[in-house]
Amino acid sequence: MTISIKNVSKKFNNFSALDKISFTIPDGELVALLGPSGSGKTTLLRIIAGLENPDEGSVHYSDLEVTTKSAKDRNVGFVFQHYALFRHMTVFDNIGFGLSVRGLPKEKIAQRVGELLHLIRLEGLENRYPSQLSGGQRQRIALARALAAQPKVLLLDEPFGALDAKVRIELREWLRRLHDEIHVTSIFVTHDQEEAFAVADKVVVMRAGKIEQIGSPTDVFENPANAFVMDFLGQVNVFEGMLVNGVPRITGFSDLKGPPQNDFCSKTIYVRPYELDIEVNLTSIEALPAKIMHINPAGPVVRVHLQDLNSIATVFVEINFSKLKELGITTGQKVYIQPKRLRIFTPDYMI
Amino acid sequence: MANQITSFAAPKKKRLEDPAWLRYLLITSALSVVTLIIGIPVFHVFYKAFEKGTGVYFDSLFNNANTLHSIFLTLSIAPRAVFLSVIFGLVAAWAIARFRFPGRAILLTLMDLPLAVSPVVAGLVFVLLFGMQGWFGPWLASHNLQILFSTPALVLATCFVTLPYVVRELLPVLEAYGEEEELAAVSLGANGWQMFWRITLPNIRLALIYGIILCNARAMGEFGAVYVVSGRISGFNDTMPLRIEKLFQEYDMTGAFALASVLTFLALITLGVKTYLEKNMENRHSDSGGTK
Repeated sequence: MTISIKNVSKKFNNFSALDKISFTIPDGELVALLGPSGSGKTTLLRIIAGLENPDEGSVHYSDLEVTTKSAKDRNVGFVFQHYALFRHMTVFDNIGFGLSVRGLPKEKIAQRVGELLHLIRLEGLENRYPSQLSGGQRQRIALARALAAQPKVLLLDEPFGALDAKVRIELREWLRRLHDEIHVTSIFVTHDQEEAFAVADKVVVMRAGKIEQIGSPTDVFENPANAFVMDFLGQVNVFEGMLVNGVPRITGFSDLKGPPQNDFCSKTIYVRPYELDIEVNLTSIEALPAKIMHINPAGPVVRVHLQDLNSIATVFVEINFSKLKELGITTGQKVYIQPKRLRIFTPDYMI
Repeated sequence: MANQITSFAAPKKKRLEDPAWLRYLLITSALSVVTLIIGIPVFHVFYKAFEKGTGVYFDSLFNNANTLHSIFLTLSIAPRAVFLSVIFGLVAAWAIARFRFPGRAILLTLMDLPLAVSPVVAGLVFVLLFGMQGWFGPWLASHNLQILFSTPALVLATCFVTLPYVVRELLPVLEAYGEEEELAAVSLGANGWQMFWRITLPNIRLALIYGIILCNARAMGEFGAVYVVSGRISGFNDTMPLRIEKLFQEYDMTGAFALASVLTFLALITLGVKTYLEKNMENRHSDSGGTK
């Protein structure tokens, strides 16, 4: 089922949680609402679910406007951040709740609960109480409960936020596989860009109640729409620079010593750590002299901290392990940083 | 966690204790005060009631129409007052816990008024409202409605003093477990009624029973407010506490103490039920399912 949000705004007292949000989620997609805390992503999710009313705008399920319908009549599956399992009910009664309030016969409920327990691989736990389960198990029960009444849309609020790192990674891979199996339109909220990229078909990046960018994970990561998205989606190095004949140049490049001649042309330049190379000898005029402060060789990607010798700013560079061996660099050594890709954005956005 | 830390810090020695004389002094004084102020009087009530034998005891209880009526009156007023207090308590506690509205703080404060103000004052307020010189008095009289000096006034006055108990018990529980489970129920398709009976009520069950017990104890023992609004008509408006006082004033010691023993006995039953519930219901799979 397609979900459309049109011009939705929401204020809490004087704080604008959502500001004229509009977008459409195609049928069967798994979408991540990604943003820092306070960006309005949870409020948006609750408005889609009907747990919150928008001040303005409308919510549509396919061609049907549901803005004024209560959550009870929307047939959504909602998974809460802290599970919100019914603590006085067994796992069986928790999962069957949505069916039992709809007045389904007992045998039907038992059959469906059995199916779901199989789906979440927790057969045999139906008589346990939530307090007797681990965090990961509780989260899966919450998901099964949300799926029981065959909702048209599945909404998850920071579904893995309360779990430890290992379980979180297991569960998010499991969620991806589950979605590939059942294909229900799903939206989940997260502040973790890695999680969004690992699970979602499409990412909606939000900030301060507005949408900054919508696109596939590769798209938003490779072609961020602005400095905020660039910064939020991963580590970034910021350089002072300028446009020379339309080409971005960093101030510290050896042919551009001294302050920029024309202030109007001064630009902030953004470079990802993996878009920088380290050279032992100066081979190009497009390089920055730097001193190695620290080398962190954990894993296949080596993280190098350097100090830009012109601006004394810290620069992060990621190179692979074989490159490190090849260069044979050590802490304290003077090297040259060579960018492979420079990005500039219109200066509306400050980091 | 805490255990691990202490086992690290404390050497394997005897637990740090207060000196023996201090412990014995505190325990003895607590016990003697309880014995003196609670134990002996309660025992004395029963002693005086049965002093002249069980025959006289039952005779003074059951062969006195006015005394018998007071027992029935109390047993009929208390449940009605408790019922009204519970309905009000549920609504008020729900509203205060779940909604933010102007006047919420005032409501919360006013709710405690019956605990602070003397019940006699409450009784007087009802007299002022419903009496012939009061606001509603003439209107009530012209419609042939009798409130003051009759059972409705007794129920109202009892309600006034019992009002805070259910709210006070429910509010912290409602706030502690939050509204997430209720929202989850709604998102799963439950209507308000289903949500209340299947999610909210089971979660607040223990606190509610507790509130009812406290409420009931207070309702049966209420004297001041009821005294003022009852009109003190024997065999008609006297509740047990009022009847006890009247018998006492009339120097019918056996009658007064016999009735007092019944009232005390009802209080002891209430305490017993409360203790039983505390022991048997507290730990039944209520060890918090959430992660908060």
